Amino acid sequence: MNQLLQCRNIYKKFSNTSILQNLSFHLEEGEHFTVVGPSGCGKSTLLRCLAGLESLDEGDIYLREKSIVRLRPENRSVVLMFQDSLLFPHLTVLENVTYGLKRKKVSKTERVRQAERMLKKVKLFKWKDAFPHELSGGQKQRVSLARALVLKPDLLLLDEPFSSLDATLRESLRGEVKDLLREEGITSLFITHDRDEAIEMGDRLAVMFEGRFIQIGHPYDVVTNPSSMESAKIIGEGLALEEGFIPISKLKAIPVQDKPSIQDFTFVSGKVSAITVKNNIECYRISWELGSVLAMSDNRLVVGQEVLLSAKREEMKKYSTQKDQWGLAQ
Amino acid sequence: MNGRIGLLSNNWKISLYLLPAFAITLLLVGYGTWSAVAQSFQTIDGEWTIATYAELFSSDAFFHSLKLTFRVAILSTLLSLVIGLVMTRMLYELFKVSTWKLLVWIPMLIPHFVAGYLVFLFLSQSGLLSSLLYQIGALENRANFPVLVQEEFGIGIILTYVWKEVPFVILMLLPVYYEIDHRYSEVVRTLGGSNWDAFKTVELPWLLPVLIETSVILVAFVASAFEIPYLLGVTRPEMLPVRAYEWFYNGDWSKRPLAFSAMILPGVIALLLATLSIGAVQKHRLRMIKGRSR
Amino acid sequence: MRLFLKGLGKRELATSFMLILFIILFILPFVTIGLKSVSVGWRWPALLPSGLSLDAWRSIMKDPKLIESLVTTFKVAFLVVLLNLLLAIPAARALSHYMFKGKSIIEGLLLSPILIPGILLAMGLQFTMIQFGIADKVIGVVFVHLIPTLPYAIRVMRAGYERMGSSLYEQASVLGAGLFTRFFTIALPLLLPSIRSLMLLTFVISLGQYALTAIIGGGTVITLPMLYYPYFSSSNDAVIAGFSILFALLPLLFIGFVEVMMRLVIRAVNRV
Repeated sequence: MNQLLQCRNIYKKFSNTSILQNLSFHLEEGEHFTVVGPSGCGKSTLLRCLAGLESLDEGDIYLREKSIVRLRPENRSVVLMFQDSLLFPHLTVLENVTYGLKRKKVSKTERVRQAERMLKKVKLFKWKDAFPHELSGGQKQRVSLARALVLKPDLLLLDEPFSSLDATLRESLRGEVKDLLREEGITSLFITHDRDEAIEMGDRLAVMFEGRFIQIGHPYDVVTNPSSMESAKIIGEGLALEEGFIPISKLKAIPVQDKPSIQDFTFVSGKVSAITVKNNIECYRISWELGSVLAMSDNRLVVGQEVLLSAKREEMKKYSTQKDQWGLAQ
Repeated sequence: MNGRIGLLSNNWKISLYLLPAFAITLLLVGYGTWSAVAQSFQTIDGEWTIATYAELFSSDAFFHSLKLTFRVAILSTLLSLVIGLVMTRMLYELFKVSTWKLLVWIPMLIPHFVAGYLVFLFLSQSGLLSSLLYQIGALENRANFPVLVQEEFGIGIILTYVWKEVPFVILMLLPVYYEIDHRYSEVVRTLGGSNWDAFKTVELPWLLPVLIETSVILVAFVASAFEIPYLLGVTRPEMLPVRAYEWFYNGDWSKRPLAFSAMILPGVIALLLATLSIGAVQKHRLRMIKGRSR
Repeated sequence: MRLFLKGLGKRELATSFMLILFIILFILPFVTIGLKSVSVGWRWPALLPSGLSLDAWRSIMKDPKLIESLVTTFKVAFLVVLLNLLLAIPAARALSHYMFKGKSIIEGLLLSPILIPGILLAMGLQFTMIQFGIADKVIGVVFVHLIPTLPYAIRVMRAGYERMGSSLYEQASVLGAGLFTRFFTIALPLLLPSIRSLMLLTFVISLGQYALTAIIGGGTVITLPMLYYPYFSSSNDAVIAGFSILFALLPLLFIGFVEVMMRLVIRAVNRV
């Protein structure tokens, strides 16, 4: 496969605060790459730099082996989709979708043909003459996607595009968007702070923390095998400790009075603060002074009960400190 | 809205809030207009007649005045809008700091006629600009300096209004500039639009209602203000407000009906202009407000 | 990347250029007339005065007519500002926070004095005001000065109320604040910028009225503009310049006084 995008040693500062620190990565043609990280980790800034809305302090960005850092945003074949749909309120749906094509001087009939094809794909064809204020939140976001995809950009950047929608809509839209990206053969870079979304949307996943990627890999590998405590806290499903990580499936909450068995090792003692259901299994949120985690239990627990979080010693995975194939460990 | 909590129902409360301002305005505008229109159709002895209008419409001098009045009004409005818009667009980030914003308020502090004096001081034939040009050798004699104030076209009047209204335009536009979601401009840029496209698609639709409102206010104001043309105008042709004031004030009471009818016409024109443009912009504005995606 | 940075620099350069242009066009003239008012013998083609003196200011301050008209001007302007506050604040609150039948008509009427020539209205009102005996009096002049001020006052206050929103008001009433407490503890501090603009704007507009004052004041209510025009045709440049500066100083003095008063009020009502 060809490398579509290469970022080499990117630095970005805002008034003496480093936002991006020596960031290097690449994207393959046609792949869907997600970046997950807490707010303020620099992921939005990364997208804005790629789109050309911010200039870099140092480093270089290559798109199809050509440096694009000097290009203005309108001359990059990169489109950014924001958190809000940002449809132009005084233009109809169709006018919104043809907007970019018009800037590229595509003929009118061709513009309309392509836009209508794309509107059919996002199932909004019959809304083409409506104004944005007549659409629901999910519909707006789909028009926004159509507006971006119709340009057939080399790279589509998505900045938490579902975060302003409600939970069910968000989940159904994820699948729809991913299908569409695959059908259109568009390479995408998707950023989010939601771990479920990150796992679902990416062929490859990067965990971002304080302006760096601290781990990159297949979503399953990253989730089950975090490379550091930060990574474990951001993406891992389980208990993140200084020395290692225990996946949720291996973690048990045991009432204090029940002594853990010989092989079990107690890692944390805490209280049940809430009861929830995950994958049809009753789970308990266990909280202690430093944090909280979901865990299962063989017993029926009640809120407020004191428990011990235990697992077999060997279930704890030590963080891998060796350099991985992308040379990321720093 | 018929709910009643406390002493007064909402409707009563609204009426009470609005009544004082409403009553006073109705008295001033309603009664004032009616009385002015009535007096324009009456002779000095109280007989009803349209002779005043007949006299006005048969007079070339009136039409010259009317033309001058609206030429000055429209030119000074357009110039103020364009200059004000360019300045706002380039300086709005700066004016977020309230210290800098005070600068815009300073020219607002002085009355129009003092601004008229400034224009006279700088741009008359023996003014400071003429002095400067003489000193650097670009001018041999002050008589060679173009006549900019107190001439027939009303250049001095227009310049005074522009000087005075540009800060007004800036103060009208600034809140809108802060309201615009500038991420829209970024959307335009990533979709391949230029800076100019961003202005056209993002800023102009937001600005349009305020630009129209401001221009209506300015045209109506300039067409009916007396202070500047009285100071910087010439006697022939005179701007209508000056003509009307003189008919009203100077001695001969039989001229008073002329004073009324001479001011009614620009009033009607300004009103028509306002209804048309505000009506046209209303629908657009509603859509803009509803369409904000936040 | 270097090119990109250069582009950024260009933008900053343009902004600075525009700022300097703004200052030269709109601020420098004030410095010039200030200088002019303390100069002697600054005639064409001199670029700077040949000497400095306070004679012009002395002759302005010695003019008994001027002192008298200064008092009248302040009286008129103060009453105009006060009436505008009393009329515009409740009206703006009703227009910004309530929907009701006929709203657009009422709104249209309240803003109509912006569009209808003030001179026409003043001329129309003059005869009736003579009959009621309020022409040629300060109160009559104050009344017609509402024509060019009230619509702006309502507009400014309305924008202020809309920015504030009604949720804070509701929060205060839930916390047990009555109508007046609510106004003084919540609205007044939050609307302060709008109130300040309203007072300054209406003061300046009132200060700048010549025709309306002349039509209704009938030569007995002499405000400063009544004296400015004769001064303008007189020959002493320094005196006109000083007089012009006076017009800019009055609103500043007024707003300074108001600022102090309002801060005292707000501090008094918002004590713990």
